[in-house]
Amino acid sequence: MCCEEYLPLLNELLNKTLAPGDKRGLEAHLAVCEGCRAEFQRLKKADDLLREIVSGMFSEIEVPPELSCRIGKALEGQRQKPVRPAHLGWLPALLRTSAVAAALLLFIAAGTFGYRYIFSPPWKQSEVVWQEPAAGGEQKSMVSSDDAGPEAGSETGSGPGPETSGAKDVRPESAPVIPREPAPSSEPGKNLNLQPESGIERLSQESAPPGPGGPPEPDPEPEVTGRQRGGANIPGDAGSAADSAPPEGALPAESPGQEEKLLFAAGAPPAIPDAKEKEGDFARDHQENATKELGLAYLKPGYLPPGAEFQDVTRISGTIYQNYRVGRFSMQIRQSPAVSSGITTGPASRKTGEIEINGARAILTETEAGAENGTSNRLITITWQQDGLLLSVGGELPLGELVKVASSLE
Amino acid sequence: MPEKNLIREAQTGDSDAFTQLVQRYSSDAYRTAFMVLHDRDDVEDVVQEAFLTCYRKINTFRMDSSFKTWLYRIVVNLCYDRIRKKSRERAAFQRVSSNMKTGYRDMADIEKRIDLKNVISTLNPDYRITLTLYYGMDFSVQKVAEVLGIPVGTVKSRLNSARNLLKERLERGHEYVL
Repeated sequence: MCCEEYLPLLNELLNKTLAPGDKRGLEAHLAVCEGCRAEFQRLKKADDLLREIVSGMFSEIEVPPELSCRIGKALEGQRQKPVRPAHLGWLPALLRTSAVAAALLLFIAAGTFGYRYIFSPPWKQSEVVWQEPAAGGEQKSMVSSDDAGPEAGSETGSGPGPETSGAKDVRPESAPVIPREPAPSSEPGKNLNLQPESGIERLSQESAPPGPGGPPEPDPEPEVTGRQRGGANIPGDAGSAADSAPPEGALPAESPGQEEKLLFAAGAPPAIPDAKEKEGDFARDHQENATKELGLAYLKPGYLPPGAEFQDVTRISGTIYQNYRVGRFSMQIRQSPAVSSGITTGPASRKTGEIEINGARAILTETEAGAENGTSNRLITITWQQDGLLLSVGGELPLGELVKVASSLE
Repeated sequence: MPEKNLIREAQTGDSDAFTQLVQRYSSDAYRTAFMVLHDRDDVEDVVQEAFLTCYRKINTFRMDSSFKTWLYRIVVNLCYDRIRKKSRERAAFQRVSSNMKTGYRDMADIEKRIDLKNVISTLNPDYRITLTLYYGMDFSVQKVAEVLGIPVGTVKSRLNSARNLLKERLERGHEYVL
């Protein structure tokens, strides 16, 4: 191979998409070809620079500390809706097809009519009604309806043949009194009645495909406010994008939630544990799991402000973020390898002073100045280097609390 | 708890399990969307909607890919939807040729800039999301292709174009403010 043939492989090497055989061949060539080696070094430098810039930009993006909470609140509305059993996932989608739904309704209607017509035709119905007094006065309630025949048959589990139709369908006195409600579908019917919404109305609303400008989720929950409400205003094609997105592919159309509630309400609703009960356990478990699964080794605070709750820990491009919530305020601890160039402040931050944390010089910065109702709502950050690490503790908390947290990192 | 266990529990209706998935991935999903949209309100809407979509469809998730890949694909598509809706970015969203420079109009202005971050920020969204997933999220080329739903060759082409652009600038001796 000549240099022209190797050059296209340089990017493949950087992309880590080169086959092992080609990689060995290319590396052998780079070892002897100064021109290709220089070109590779230039590309590698560009690659390193891109990685540094993009990962830097990425990690500098400040995530709103209340993001998870907002999503959680938005999910609250969804949680009212039972999750559809996976093995029945195709059914709502099938029923959403109007042609199938219409055919099914016709089939049921025609079947019921035909059944009743065949096995309890009008002349036999009248016969039943007429014969009822002879069968016994107690059975009046049963035969007062022309449904008596089929119900009786289904109740016993045996299909009523022609010989059992009509007057012969009337149960003897020993038979139990059958309620007026259609027996076979009584269970789903009961559950439907338990739903606050009108089942038919809701089903029709949800069955309709979302319009081009209309949100696919038509029932914003009362507790969803602000950002949640904004998020619920899904663009018309956002749903389609989301549908087309997952690799699984065969996703149903938008918003199956409500019809799930109706169609599968017979199943036990999912148990939703009390969040407050599990809060403490969750925080501890999550922190431990994060440490185990992500292999995160990070300094943990020996002191936390009263009422502080651990939220999550993440690692992005070498920086580990621990997020805490203290009431309505947030606090974040960042940890990354120490930098030799010294501590710098971001463009949006204002240096407000210097203090000492664990014997090291620490810089105080503020990103948002101002106070409200006597409580600090400024985002104060303390940044310092300690044990080969660049550490920062920031939050909307009083400086004294942040200093205590920072001093307790070990 | 392993991701698959969380998903299985979420599929049985365990809300806490899904909450853990939110906590695990919401920050990175936010940052990824921000690299494309640059609008905090839009980004927050997109991330929230992505999780709501995942929640509604969690039972259709068959573990063929990771939850993260699934989520990111939804996030990316929702980002593209947002961009589509914004007329100012409509032209930039049009599919570009393999030459990245055709993706934006004011290349001459960009050439004059010395702030490389600004250059990256003004790239075509297709390139921004590719660079974000590959360099920012440390995804492999294959995984980037999977998330974006594009051929592996297209991902490579975008990465190569970005490297070549930077290489040219470095050769010209620009000083970059990082």
